[in-house]
Amino acid sequence: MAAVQFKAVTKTFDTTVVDKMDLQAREGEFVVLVGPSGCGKSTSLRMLAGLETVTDGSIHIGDRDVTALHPKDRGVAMVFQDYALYPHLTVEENISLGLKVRKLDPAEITERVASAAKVLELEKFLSKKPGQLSGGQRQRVAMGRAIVKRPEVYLFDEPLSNLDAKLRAQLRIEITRLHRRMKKTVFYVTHDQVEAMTLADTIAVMNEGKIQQVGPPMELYRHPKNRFVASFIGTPQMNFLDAELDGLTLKTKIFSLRIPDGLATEFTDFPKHFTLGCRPHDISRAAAGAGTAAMSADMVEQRGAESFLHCVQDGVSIVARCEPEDAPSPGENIHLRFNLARFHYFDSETNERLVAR
Amino acid sequence: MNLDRARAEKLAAFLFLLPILLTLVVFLLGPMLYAFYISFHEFSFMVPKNSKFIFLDNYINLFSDDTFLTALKNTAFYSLGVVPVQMAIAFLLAVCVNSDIKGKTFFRVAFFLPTVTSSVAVSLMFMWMYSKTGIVNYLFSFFGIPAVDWLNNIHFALPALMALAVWTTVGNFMIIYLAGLQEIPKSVYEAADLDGLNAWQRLRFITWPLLKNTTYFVLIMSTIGTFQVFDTFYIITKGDGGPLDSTMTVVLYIFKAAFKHFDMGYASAMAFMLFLVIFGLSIAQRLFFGREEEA
Ligand SMILES: Nc1ncnc2c1ncn2[C@@H]1O[C@H](COP(=O)(O)OP(=O)(O)OP(=O)(O)O)[C@@H](O)[C@H]1O
Ligand SMILES: [Mg+2]
Repeated sequence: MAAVQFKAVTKTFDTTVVDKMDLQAREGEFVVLVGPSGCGKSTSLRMLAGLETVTDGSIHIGDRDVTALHPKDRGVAMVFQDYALYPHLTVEENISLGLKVRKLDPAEITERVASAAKVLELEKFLSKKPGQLSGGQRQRVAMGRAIVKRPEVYLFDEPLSNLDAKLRAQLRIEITRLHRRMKKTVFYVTHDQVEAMTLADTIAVMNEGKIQQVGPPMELYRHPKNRFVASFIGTPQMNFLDAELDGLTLKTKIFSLRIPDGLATEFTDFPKHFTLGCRPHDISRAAAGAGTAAMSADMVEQRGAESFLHCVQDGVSIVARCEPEDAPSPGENIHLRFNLARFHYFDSETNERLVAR
Repeated sequence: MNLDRARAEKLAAFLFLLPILLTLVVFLLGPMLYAFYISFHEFSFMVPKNSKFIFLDNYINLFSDDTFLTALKNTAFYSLGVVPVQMAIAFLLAVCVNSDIKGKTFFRVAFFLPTVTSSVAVSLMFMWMYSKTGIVNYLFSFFGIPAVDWLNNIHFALPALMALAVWTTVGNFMIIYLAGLQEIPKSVYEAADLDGLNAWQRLRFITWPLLKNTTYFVLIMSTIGTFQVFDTFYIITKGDGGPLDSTMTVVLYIFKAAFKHFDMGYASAMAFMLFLVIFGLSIAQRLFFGREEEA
């Protein structure tokens, strides 16, 4: 019943911050809105919650047009970035206030609060005030306040951004687990693409008020529709190189590769100059030879299980993955091999993907 | 070397503080202690040396002085009337000018203006408004209420002055409440919206409890202010608390005793009684608010 749909939603303050946004979520789907700071994620979510008016277009939850409804009538619950707990109320009162004003049966309220407290491991803190809790505990209270309302749609606005890395990872798993239990639609805003990749059924990448691409995490990773999505999803960021085709030879400033005959048809409609994208994971160290790029190692970024080499040559910077034991020392001259099968191609002018695969 | 520097810093700090310390001692602490001292004397203005130590007589006499008791009663009545009304209006005004209404800056300034206006000017304006042919009577005449000489009527003079007090000081407390309101994060209200609280419930469950400390502060300041009221009463009643002592307040009576009857010892004793009353009330209010904190 609770599919969510944005139909050509536009929001204008002084300027347009959300531009003709079309987005839908199936019932029970976990949708993550991701994008750089200021791109309009929060604004979109707040329009869905009813905290912000819609300038143009409409928003639907289930089969209801909720565009003009009061937040409380939309069947949504929201978890805020700064938690927005009531500082003067205890954890229990914080969680139950929304039910009390709805005049629910007290026995029902007690039961719902108890079950939420159990799921979120808040039982010990029920009589504490928010000021006496840690960030992670407050975040759980905020989630508890959402859960007891048994909403059709959950909204999260960067709920983990005030927490340290360890807690974030832990709560990420808890949120996934909660979602699996409740099977409710979730809209989740973050600017952290790792969070987006790990949580989402569907990711919607936004930039400057426009949806760039919507799809499952791996689809966005493998087939980014444009250069922005390509650079935003995946870490470290994808490398981009200016490239050109000379017959069946792919030429860049730092290497040339012959395109295998089997793939030749893909390049028939290419412009002469275009942008080539290659993820660090698709570049490896190799012995000198045809098709490799001679580069100078600039810096090694150790991540434990793997290392990332930052290399330069002729004004081109490349980040490549390598095994920690293979890491060169800074300044060393090395060779890199690029995996042509995993290349992405973008139009240099429009930044759109060139081969639809 | 280091020791010298620490000492030099202390000396510098002390020198910076000296002017204000001196002022406080000369004009506040000194007179207070001296007043305390002479409250046990039958003080002689002309020849202070001839003052007679009479111990508690001044204090004992207060309790059989009808004027003092009337003044105390009037002041208490005044305070009881003004404080709650003033606080309620200040709170409501603050809530209003804190919301997203048009021209809120104008209203903020308008409500605050009386506070910064000279009390003499305000008093004169109200005397004119309250006069037999003034605007108050004019407005009441529409309801068929006969004209009253507000300030010269023993039943109405004090309430009229109470209304004046509310009008002049409410802006000040509105600003304090406004500061408190702006401390409350916007997202708390958004959470309340999603929780389905209506306007009244938001006020009752969120705004009001979160402003508890502000309310306490306003209550204390307002109580002290009303117990110390002097200027408007002095101007409007020409310093004698008339008609028939119906607007006699404690401070006005202190002034009268000190500078009209030149009975400094007696006036000082009254000042200390007033101090004790205000002190007691403040403690009582603290206890009341403190207890609520526990609950
Ligand atoms: N109430 C408002 N009035 C005017 N402009 C606003 C308002 N709220 C947001 N904006 C503008 O809208 C744009 C999008 O803001 P939004 O909060 O949606 O960004 P965001 O994607 O959530 O960014 P972040 O990751 O930093 O939270 C910003 O440029 C912001 O300045
Ligand atoms: Mg945001």
